Amino acid sequence: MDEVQTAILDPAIGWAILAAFSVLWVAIGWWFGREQQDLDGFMLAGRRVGLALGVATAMATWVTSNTTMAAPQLALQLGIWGMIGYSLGAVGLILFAPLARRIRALMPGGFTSGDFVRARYGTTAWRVFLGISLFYALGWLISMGTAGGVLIHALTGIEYRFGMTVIVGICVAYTLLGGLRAVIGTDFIQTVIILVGVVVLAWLAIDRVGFERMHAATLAERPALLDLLFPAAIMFLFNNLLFGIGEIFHSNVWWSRAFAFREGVGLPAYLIAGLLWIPVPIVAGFVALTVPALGLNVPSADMVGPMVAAHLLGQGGAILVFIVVFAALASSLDSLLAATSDLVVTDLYKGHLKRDATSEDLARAARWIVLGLGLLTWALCLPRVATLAALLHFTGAFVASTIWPIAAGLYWRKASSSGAALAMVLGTIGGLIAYRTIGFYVAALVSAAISMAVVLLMTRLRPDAFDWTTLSATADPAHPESARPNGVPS
Amino acid sequence: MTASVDFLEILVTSATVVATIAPVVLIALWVIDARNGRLW
Repeated sequence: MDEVQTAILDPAIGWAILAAFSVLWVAIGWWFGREQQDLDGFMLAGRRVGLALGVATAMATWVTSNTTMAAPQLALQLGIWGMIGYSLGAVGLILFAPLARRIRALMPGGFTSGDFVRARYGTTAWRVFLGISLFYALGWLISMGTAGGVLIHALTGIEYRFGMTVIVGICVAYTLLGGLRAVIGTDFIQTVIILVGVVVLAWLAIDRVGFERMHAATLAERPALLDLLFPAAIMFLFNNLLFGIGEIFHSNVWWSRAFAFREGVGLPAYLIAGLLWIPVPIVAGFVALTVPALGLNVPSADMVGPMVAAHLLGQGGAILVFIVVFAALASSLDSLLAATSDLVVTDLYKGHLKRDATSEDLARAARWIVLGLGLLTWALCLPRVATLAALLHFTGAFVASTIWPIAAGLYWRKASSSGAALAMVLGTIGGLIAYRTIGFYVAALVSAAISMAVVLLMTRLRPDAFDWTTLSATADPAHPESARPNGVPS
Repeated sequence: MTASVDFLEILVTSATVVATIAPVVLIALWVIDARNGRLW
């Protein structure tokens, strides 16, 4: 059905909130990023991000509109395991914590995940990795832009293309003005807003409905939601776990933060962010279990969160959810925009097109690329083709294939270069076949299993003897011209 | 196997308590970093 039928806020209120928060994000982004003009400053916030901002940016980026809107939807469809499965997305953040420390130690002057794959595994694996990474990043950008337009339309009735244009435009504006510092600075405030919003709604739902009533009504009307052996939900749990690990291990969103954090911050920042993130999908999701008790008729599963909020809090609840969703959208879209632009600047522009580019050239190019990516995202979002759920299911096969090459490459000297490239290719193919022949819930699982087998087998057959110092030499901050986004293999 | 009301209550309450503490932790970390000049 058309979401406008479910709109729970007046469009005028929607526009007022959009305008107020747009001005706020751009002003804050400009303020935080006003002194960051060189390449390190624009792309990596000067590499001095502290623990508070580190924790907040990791949390905010991982709390997407999907977490706030689809967690209740999953609870309504898959019950308790849907919420718990979603919260296992935090495992990726927690497992990345030691990797972040190692990445910073091995490559103190590194810029992107592509830098590492190129230096560790060589050109072939680098290009395969770039293909996967850019495909995923662009897909995620489109799905976030689309989700922005759809959610704003669903909540307020504002036309899809206007809502989408606002969310993409605002994120491009403050990322352009302040680079990663603007992204991280706004992430802190967005995280606090998101957490306060979901917590207020959760305590209200507990207070007004209560667990006895919630449980009894759910058991009477939708007992499967309380079934702890719900097969589809258990499969979703494992698939989501692997998807989350694959996404975080490979994506430059997380690597760029590992490079940007102050020395010693990466491990605690990702660890704390993961631990604090675990409850978020449960808190955001369980409100769906109040639906039977409240007797709500939910016309579209993804609107369950706002509908419960509006029922419990009236218009104030709907406004609260709208602000939370807007913050969640912006916090993920800006991070993705900045990190993808880094990858394009470093690995495509410098790596393939203009190998003699200076730092000044790259700093200029970075801004044009943020703008270009924003325009591309906007243009691709206009037809409204992708949904976040569809993308997440489909790309599980791609991202899960990178888990073992990344993890083995960071810790295992013998991990094979040819094995890494082959593992990503065969893992992706296998995952896609499973996606087509079995179902979305096994794509990441099959991809990761094949990738692991190939990495192990090829390392046995054709082991490397990698010298870790190669990584720091490739990205040595003391020698900027060899360290900065060049290092293209001869 | 059906989740009991106690299971649901413990799961949701503990998650909500942690999520309630989370913004306080973030703001406390901000204050500590700001005092030590280590925000950026």
